[in-house]
Order: sequence, then structure tokens, then C-alpha cells
Amino acid sequence: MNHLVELHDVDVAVDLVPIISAVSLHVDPGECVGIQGPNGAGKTTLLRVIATLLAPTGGSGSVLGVELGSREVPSVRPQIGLAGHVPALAGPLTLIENLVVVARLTGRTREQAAAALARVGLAGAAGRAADRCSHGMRRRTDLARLFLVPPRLLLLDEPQAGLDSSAQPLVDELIRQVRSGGGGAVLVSHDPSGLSGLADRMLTLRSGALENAT
Amino acid sequence: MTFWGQVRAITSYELLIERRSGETWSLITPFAAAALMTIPLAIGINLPLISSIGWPIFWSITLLFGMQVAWRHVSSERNAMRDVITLLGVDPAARFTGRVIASGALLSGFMLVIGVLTVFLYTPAELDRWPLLIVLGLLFAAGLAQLATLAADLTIGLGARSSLAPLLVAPLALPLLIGAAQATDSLLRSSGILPWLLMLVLADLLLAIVGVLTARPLQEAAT
Repeated sequence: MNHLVELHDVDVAVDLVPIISAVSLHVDPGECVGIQGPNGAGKTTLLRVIATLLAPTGGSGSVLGVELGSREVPSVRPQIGLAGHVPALAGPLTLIENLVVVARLTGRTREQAAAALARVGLAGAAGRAADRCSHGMRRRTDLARLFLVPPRLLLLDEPQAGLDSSAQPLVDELIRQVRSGGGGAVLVSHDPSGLSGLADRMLTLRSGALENAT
Repeated sequence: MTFWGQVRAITSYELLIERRSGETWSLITPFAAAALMTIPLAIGINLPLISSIGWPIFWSITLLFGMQVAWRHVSSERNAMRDVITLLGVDPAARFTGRVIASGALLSGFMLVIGVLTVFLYTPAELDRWPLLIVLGLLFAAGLAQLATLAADLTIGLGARSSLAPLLVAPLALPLLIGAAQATDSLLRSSGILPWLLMLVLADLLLAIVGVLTARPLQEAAT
């Protein structure tokens, strides 16, 4: 079986300080992998490696069939959807303007952007500047971006943080949608309870090393 | 999505952020106008002197505050947003071009306001071939916009980014300043400006080639 993500002994060091060491893991199509770990364990760094936004300093791996660090990496990036713990929004722009930018860059329409915003329950706040919205509303808008441009590989950093109980089904729905299309998901959180029920299997990252990798 | 479609989307995104934040018009331009006003106040009633320094002061103010205009997007740029644009598969060269066009347009508007104020405050000697001054301004704006965008990409991830990038831009902008100032002086003396014009065109072309060719390597180096 071709793995969506395959990492072999991947290291990342910043200014010679190791952040993650000898991490090996794989994610199969239709699978959702949860990675838990305390603050500073390297979860976000690992997610950025999988997102191809951070090149490993050691080891090897592939994402969506493309070798990490190779020239083909940019070609698979549009199939990767990342929602970090900081929502990716331009503060001065309204919520709908933020999504319209994404829509225009991916050949979609303003109507599709509006529909995605409505899907996360923010149609009434479309004209509000992102800077004037709560963290939860900004995170919902980030999820709307992923509904607007459905990824094959979904990466969520602290998927439940900042979201109220009414928004939890949105995360479930997003993961279900990605999995049903043959894609996969990697979720990271400091709180294992935030991942329970979402992930098929759980791994623990501690001090940059995976403890129960499979 | 075509390259130019991406360029259009990035340009309108940058200009929309500026329209909402108003940094250029409500912050930088008033300060530049104030700086323009302080010099005649410091010199006193010496009208011939004030008139003779009008255009050199215009180019100096344009360079100093224009750097702020061209650099403004860095202050509002968020890492997460940059990541999203990278993951959406936007061609880094299209991103560079879109940002340059947006900055260039803002710089051109800024220079027009400062230029009108310079004429009003300094009453510099009239230029017979004033449309050429507009051409000089556009070439200067294009060069400065490209330099600032390039510096922004070069300094991604550096701790002292906000201090370092203007320091990179200022010395590299000297050919633009010299070319524009000398060409204006030649216009005043009704002599030829072709060598200076060519110098500006060459600098702009060189920056465009470097900017487009290094866009992807710089993006990958930042990952």
C-alpha cells in the first residue's frame, strides 16, 4: 500500500538544537493519526515537516508520494490542508474577504467562499474584520478555508482549541470528508482528550521523539 | 490558475489590506509631508535656496518614507498566512510580482502626493519636460518596490528582520536615488537624461530578473 505520509528517522534541528529526533511514522489513505504530547515536544514542528513547510535536517520521508526536500514538493502542496493553532487570516480583512482571497487563488468563486463560511455558521459575521473576531470565530474561518479547498492530506494543530461545542462537529465532518475521499489526517494536540474519538490511532511525542510509533 | 491570474489575485489582496489598514495614507504620508515641511522652516526665509533644494529633498523624502510604504506589508504579514499561500500552490514568482505591483502602485500614489506638496512648499524651478518626471517616478517606484519585496523575502525567519531589511534596502537603493536625482537635475538644466534613464531601467530590469529567479529558492530556503 502506498502511504500518504512516510517518515524514516526524521530529525529537525534549529540552530543545532534538536527539535525532533529519529521520528518514523506513516499515515495510510483513509486513516486519521493523532499525536499527543506536552508543550514543547515538537508537535507543531512535526506537523510542519509533514506539511512540507519545514525541511528535515536528517532522515528521509515522502508526502503524497513525493520525497521530502525534492524539487517535486511544490506540486503536492495544493493537496495539503493545514490549520495551525494560529488562524491563517489577514487581520484587517473581513472574514469573507479572507476566504475570497483563497477562492481567487484557487480558481473558485466568491459564492463558494460565502457557502464555506455559511457552512461553519459565520454567514452573519462575514463582513466583520478578522482582527475584531474572537479566536473561535477565526478558527472556524480557518476550517471554512479547508471546506472551500478540500485537501487530500489534512493537518490540524490543536483541532479543538478555541472551538465551542457547537463547532466540534465541523472538525468531525472535515475529517470524515477527507477520509471518505481516500485522504488522511494528522492531528496534534497537547490534550489527548481533544483527539479521542477523532483519531484511529494515537502516538505520543515527548522531547522530540515518538514513543509508541507504529 | 494562470500565472497572471495569481499575480492579479495577490495584487488585489495586498491593495485590499492597505485599503483596510490605511497605513500608507493615514500614517506614512502625513509624516512624510511633515518632514517635507520642516526643512523650509529650518532654513528660514531664503527662497532661492529653498527653491534650489526642492527636487533633491523630494527624492530624499521619497526614498526614506517610500521604504516604509514598500515595507509596510511585512508588518502585517503573518507566518500562518504565508504558509497558506505556499500550500495553495501559488507560484512564488507570481507572488513576488503581485506584491511588487501593489507596492509600486502605492509608491506611485505616495510620490504624486509628495511631489505636489514639494511644488507647493518649495516652488522649485519649473521643468519644461515635466512628463519625464512622471516616467522617472514610475521607474523609481518600481525599483524600490522590487528591492523592498526582495529584502522581505531574504529576511524571512530572521529575528532582527524589521531592522535588517530597511538597512539592506537603503544602500541598494542608492543607484535608484542617484539616477532619479541626476535625471531631474538634467531636466532642470535642459540637458539629456538618457544615461540616467537607462541606469534606472537597467536597475529595474536587474531587480526584476533577480526577484523572479530567486523567488522559489528563497521560498524553499524559508521552509
